[in-house]
Amino acid sequence: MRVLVVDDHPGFRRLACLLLAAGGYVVVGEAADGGGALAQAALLRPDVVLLDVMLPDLDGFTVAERLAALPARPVVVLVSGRTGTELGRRLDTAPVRGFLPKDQLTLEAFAALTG
Amino acid sequence: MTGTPAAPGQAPPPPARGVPALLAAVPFAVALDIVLPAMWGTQAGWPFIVQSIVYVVIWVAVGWVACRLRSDRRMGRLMILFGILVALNSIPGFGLYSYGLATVVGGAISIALAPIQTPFFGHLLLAFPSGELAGAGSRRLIRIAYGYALVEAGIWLLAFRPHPLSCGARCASNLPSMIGDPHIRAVLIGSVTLGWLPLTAWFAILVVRRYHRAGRRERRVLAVPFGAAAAIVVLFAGLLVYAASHRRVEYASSLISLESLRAMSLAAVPVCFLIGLLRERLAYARVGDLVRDLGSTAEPASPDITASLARALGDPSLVVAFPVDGGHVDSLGRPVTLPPPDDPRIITPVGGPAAPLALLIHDRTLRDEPALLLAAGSAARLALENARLHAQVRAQLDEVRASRARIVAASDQTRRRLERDLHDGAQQRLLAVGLALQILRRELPADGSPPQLLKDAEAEVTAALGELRDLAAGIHPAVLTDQGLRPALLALAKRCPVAVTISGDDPGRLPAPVETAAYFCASEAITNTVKHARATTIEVTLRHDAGRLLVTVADDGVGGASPDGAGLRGLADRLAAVNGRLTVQSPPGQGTRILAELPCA
Repeated sequence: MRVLVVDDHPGFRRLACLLLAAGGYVVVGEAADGGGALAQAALLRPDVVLLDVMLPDLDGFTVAERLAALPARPVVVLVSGRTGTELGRRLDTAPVRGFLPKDQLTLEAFAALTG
Repeated sequence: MTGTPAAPGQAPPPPARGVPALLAAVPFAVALDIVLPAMWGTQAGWPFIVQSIVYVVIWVAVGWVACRLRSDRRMGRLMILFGILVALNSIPGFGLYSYGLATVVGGAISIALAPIQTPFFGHLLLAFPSGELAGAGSRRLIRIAYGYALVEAGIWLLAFRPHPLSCGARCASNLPSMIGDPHIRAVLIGSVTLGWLPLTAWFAILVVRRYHRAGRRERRVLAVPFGAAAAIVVLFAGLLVYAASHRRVEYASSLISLESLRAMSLAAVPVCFLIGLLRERLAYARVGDLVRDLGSTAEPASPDITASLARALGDPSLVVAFPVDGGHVDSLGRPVTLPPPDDPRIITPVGGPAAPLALLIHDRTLRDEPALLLAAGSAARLALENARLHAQVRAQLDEVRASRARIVAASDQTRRRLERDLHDGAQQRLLAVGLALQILRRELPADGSPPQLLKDAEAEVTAALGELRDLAAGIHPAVLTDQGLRPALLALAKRCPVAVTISGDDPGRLPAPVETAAYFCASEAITNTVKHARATTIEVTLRHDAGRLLVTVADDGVGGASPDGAGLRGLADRLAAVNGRLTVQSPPGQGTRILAELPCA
């Protein structure tokens, strides 16, 4: 399964890529902001996008909406350092497969959402 | 502010001297009017004499009252002097049956003095009400008129002949006239009498111009005497024309009609003067009202001060100007242009001329009443200073409020940034460590159990993340910034060990300072309850209406919380920074109810 990892924090992004790779996923690309994520997604056509909510340019919800409009629409898994409660109602209506707080990001949880 | 006492206007002019001496002379002048006709008999008759004496008494009495009304006494002195002049001038009109040298000389002196009455009367009117001639024009006219009166007196003396009835044939030996020809005499006296006409016209112009230029207050004082003067000018001019055209001035007896008409009209004038002076005097009584007015207002508002001062000084045009940077403003804060030097309105500083507290812009005539200005200025000074201090304190309070709000806003801003930094920095690194531990675990042989050290590390990371989240939420909850008050309170309720219900309106998004103050107020109240109240339930109610937010935090705990304790005091301060208010009800044993009221218009 081809995955695009989007997070502005380089340390977290690198380890997320390593974890997914260790889990047998093919990490086709990385992006540090919303603009980069959309460009990469259009170019690489990943199956899944692991998408951080807090990005320096666009927020994750907006990126998710634009990804949903792509011809090859990827599955989107939102992650955040915030809890679901903190993110509020936008999470309920976002066109995403699921949401994982970052401290609950495990290969098992990721597989359960994307599998 | 100056420490010197108020000294508006100029110092009062010193009182005119010689008034007692003049008053002492009055009985002699009147006695002359009685004794001479009593000794030698009168042709004019006693009613006429009594009438003349009454005029004298009126003038002297009004002069005396004027001395009492105006501290400078100048007007009063002129009036008394005029009364004495009238007493002396009446004598030739009495038609005394005598040929004694004393009578003839006395009569001659009286006749010589008679023309003085005319300029003197003009002098009185133009000098009203101060007793001083104001303006070069009026001083010049009066000087010329006195000069002309001397000329007229000389001509009358040359042409003087006692009335034929008063001495008959015996008069031939009495101080014969220098001019024998009656026609020449008539022409001479007729033309010198007509000479008054241009002077009278000049006088009329001066009077009209003075009235025209006078301020409202001055006109009130001038109206009655000047009205009378106008009537007299017309009468006098008519009389002059009549007398000259009928050549009736040749004989002293014809002076009777002239003198009696003059005297009759003059009798009305002192009364009119008195009315004018009394109207002026009424203003003093109003200073009492001013003091009462100013005393009855707890917080003197400046427009009231202006109105009170205008009433007290009898000058509706009065303006109070407060000095400000780069100009003056009136009591409503509108800019004021100070009157130029030639304006009928002048300026009196209150509170020391160097650094005046306020400027009174008022009618020129008030300068003649420094005592009134001083009294009103002193009475109003305290109120003016009060008003200024009030304004100053209000401005300072506004500044303190604004600075408190700025400090709180800056502090809120700092907390938001701190929370954000924790979230973006330390939390992300700990999360990355968590991922690294996961990868480590996967790389271990599948059959063996993970080493204890790895499990400990995972537990530590999880605990650290939890603590960090609580710390960040305590500093500033992200949900408050992102979603507003009610979601933030719901998130708070979830973390609370005591059951918290949130009810009431959802106010939606409010200004950040209001949301933050309301949130921390509720959060602090909940923390207090958890710590001290031994409560089982906490109920938070939100009400949002009419531009204000009400947050109630009620618990079923032990109560007895002190509003003066550091915790609640801090809450009250926090609310005050956004102009809010805290109410605490905490009877012992009956729970605590904290009500925060915040304006959020």
